[in-house]
Amino acid sequence: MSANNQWNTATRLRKIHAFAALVASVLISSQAARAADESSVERVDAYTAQRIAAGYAATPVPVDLTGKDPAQVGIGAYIVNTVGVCNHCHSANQYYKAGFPITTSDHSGQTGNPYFLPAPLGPYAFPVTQRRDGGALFQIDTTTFVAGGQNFGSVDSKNLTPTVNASPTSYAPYLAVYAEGGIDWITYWAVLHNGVDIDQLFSQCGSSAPPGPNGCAKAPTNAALLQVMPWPTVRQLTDGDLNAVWQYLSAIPCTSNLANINAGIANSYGGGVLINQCSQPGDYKFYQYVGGKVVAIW
Amino acid sequence: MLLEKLKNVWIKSAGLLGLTLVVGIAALPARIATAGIQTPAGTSTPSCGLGKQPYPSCPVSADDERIAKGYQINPVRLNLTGLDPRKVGIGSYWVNSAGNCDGCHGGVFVSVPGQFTPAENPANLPVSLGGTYTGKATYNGAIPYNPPATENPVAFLAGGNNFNPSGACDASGMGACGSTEVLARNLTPDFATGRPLPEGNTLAHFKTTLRNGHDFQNVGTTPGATSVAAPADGSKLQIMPWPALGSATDYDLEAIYEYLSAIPCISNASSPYPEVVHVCPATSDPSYGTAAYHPYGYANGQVQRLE
Repeated sequence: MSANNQWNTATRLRKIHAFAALVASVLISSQAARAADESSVERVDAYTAQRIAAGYAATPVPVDLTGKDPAQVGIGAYIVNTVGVCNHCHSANQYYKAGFPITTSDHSGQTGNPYFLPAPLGPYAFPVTQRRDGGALFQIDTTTFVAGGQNFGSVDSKNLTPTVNASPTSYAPYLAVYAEGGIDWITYWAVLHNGVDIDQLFSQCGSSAPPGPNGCAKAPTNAALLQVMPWPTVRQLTDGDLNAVWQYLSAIPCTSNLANINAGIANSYGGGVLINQCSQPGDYKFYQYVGGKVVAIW
Repeated sequence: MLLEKLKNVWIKSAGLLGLTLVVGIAALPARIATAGIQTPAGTSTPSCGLGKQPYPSCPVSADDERIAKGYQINPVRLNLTGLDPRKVGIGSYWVNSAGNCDGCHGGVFVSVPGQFTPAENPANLPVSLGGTYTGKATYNGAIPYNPPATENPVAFLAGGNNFNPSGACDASGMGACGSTEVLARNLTPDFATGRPLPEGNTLAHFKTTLRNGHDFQNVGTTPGATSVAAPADGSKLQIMPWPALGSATDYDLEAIYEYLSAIPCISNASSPYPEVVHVCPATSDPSYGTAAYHPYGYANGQVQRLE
């Protein structure tokens, strides 16, 4: 495929998305109202309510609640941004540092890895602000938030930000924007539960299958499975909580990751599925949880 | 082969694929989605959220559900004496699911090292024997997986993973590393004071560590292989993701502490790093030995001893 063809395809997609956006925008306000009405926010137990509040306080990016359960999005924000620390691996540049864009060609030169870097590069040693309880609050780099591209040797972490699912026909004219580059809930659940690499970056060494983009994996490693992602433990989340993570990752803005140093060039292993096509509209807002309700701040 | 069963192959986005292309690489990584991925064992679909709407929602999980799951996935025997069994369940839930604490804190220097039992964890194998992951070979828990895997109770949270064994900067991007070595700490209870203190910390210290990154063992400020050179702040933990965990609720941090108080002590005595070695009572000690540690479950709102 030539570069010209890529561009033409991208342009076509943009037009399709623009049309879908037009249709979707007609419904957007009524959908938002419906989502709020159907929310289970007011029916959660006390400690879960605390987590929802903490989740909305912790998300570094705004969310589009259209069609989603605000309670679940809050819980997902909590799991992703606190105990799960997804951004720790799924970002090429975890913390924001003004004046230090990702321009280096080698992962070892990235500014996002805080370990041992001198202040102000090392946020672990240089909190940006203090929380009211005295804790350190770090400024997440929102341009790379869960957008993947951190190199782990033979693989890069994947882009978890959402984009339009290519086959949402049953939901037309709804524009279905799903986590991790358009993965619907059932597929997402299956990936997290079974560890199957839907990008098939590796083939099995010695098999008749053609080599994967990242090469082959030797037995006893199962080439069909994700090898770095800790799905054997993440799969232990309740289905309710995993669905919350999926809803949150479907609610955050899409990041194309075009600027990622590992995205366009791949890595030395020749792989990585990092680029999202970001053209969907969205009603992205920051929210807080007060008085048992999820309320937009701005 | 599993993947051959995948149906409904579709090219997700020509733009995504095209832009992922490296000029000169002809083969595209075909991204495949399916509603019919088969699991190696067990069910193949979620128990909820099967509706047709664009964002099928599962009911919000109640804490009872998380507690039950926490006891179900806990890999070790517990001593619940004097502890809040609900908090222990929630703590186990976060530690053993999304938290994946054992991924980094799985024991090294113990009899059977690593997060998962050896047969399931080719991370311990050299490349010549099939271990494919060479980037961070010492990150035992992180990779690679041939699960469904079972946690290795002998090494559970016993620490000792060296995240910078050579003292040099590796390809993982550790920046100006200097000569500092960083060890994953032993999160099991330390009985040096006669009572089980997770990681040797009181609850107040534990919460401060998780909120502020302060290291009460002063490892980074003590001269030696693990000292952290200025201008980095040696009083802070350098790899532990406390900036994120510090935003967890008070209840959840207390629950994690409660769970870590209940698990068995692993001394990790063969570790050359003192911050990883704990004092454990003799197993013949009636307050500590196997008589005091039991498997537990949770049903009908009650914690139940299983044997």
